[in-house]
Amino acid sequence: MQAHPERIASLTLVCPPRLDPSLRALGSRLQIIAGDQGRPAAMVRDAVTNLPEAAVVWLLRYFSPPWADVVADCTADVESALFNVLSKDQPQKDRAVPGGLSGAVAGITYDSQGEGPPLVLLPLSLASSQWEPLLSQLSTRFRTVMLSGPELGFLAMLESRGRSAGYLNAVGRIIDLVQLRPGELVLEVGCGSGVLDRWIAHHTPQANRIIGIDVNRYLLREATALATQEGLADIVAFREGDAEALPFPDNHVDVALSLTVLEEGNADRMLAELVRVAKPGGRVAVMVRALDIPWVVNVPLRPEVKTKAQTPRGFVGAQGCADASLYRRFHQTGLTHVEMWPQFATFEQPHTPQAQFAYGAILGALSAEETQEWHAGIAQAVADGTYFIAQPFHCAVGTRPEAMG
Amino acid sequence: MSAADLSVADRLAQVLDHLGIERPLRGLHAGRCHGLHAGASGTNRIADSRLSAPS
Repeated sequence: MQAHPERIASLTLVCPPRLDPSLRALGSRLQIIAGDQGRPAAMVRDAVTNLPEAAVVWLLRYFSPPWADVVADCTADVESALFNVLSKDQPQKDRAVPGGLSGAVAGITYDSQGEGPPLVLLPLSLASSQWEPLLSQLSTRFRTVMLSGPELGFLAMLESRGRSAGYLNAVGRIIDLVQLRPGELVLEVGCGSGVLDRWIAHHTPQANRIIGIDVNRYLLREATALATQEGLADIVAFREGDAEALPFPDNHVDVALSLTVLEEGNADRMLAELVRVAKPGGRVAVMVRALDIPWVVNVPLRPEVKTKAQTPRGFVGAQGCADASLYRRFHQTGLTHVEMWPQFATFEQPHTPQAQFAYGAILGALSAEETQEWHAGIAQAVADGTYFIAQPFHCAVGTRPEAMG
Repeated sequence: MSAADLSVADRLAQVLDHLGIERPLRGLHAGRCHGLHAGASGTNRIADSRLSAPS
């Protein structure tokens, strides 16, 4: 994009979690659609000062964190904004190419529909409905090529993070503390791509049935496909469900886990549900991102730049939990044998999707000069063999007593 | 190079080539495409993929 920005007719970012200053090269061909509420809106307002020609369409009274189902929630507004931009680049009739293809190439799944100029639809963050609510309208004028799979977008980040040694060390301590026994039923609430469910299945010689639930149909489709690919379809099952109203009776599972999910909804309600579905003697374990603890970015930078790089970033819902309040909340559930602790997940690979995701957050806070310093610092740290980035989390594990107070 | 070693840009280039999109875009659509998605990092990937594919 930096080398040949003229070759991109237009680019629309819908509720972007990050805005890289290099997008400036697109000039007025860049459109940003974002909710006008909360921290995501503040991020966009700050970032567009570096993108003076970009058009910004605000979705009024809308909070748009990465998990917002924005196309479903704001179909008409998004459609209007998209067609406004797309209509400026008039297609020529003789350029139409046939659509109606689906399949997978090089690990990327594609679904091509309609006829006309190609319109590439990349995964829409963590939106449950993805582009589906607009697909038929877009396909009437464009050859829409919808791409998905574990190599793209948030899914790539989730898979990359969930396979990294540092993250698995952090999760491993939790799994050790819940003392999982053969035959016990494990529930992961907010399973995402199911990467940890697959890891647990392998980690525990497939001696446990595991259920992953998520409210996100897009992620559930991908999770099911990935588990099947790894031969775990009989061990790991996925189903749709709301963490605040779990689709299980009381006293149903032996271990109830929820990792980096309490940030997104009503944390106290989610915790109460985890406790409710756990059997007496069952264990409940949670982990949340710690937005109250700085990251450790082991990259040579001037102190003021390092402070920016290490500032914790991330979105949390109005009733979510991403700080040390987890310990008070967890204690109040009435669980016994409670253990609570903060810990870091250390990432030592500089070019993974997980690392790139972290860089995106950091670069959004740096000036052009600081960005150069950042890239040089990473190169230096990698060359020296000292590179790592450590992300903090708060964790808690407890046991459900025979009788809840 | 094994499939596991492919970059995201290479993977995207293969998809677009498979769909026959790359050459029509370059020859008939001024080498441009519309992209819609939700992440800046992904922006770079799609742009890079299109520009690094063999012409």
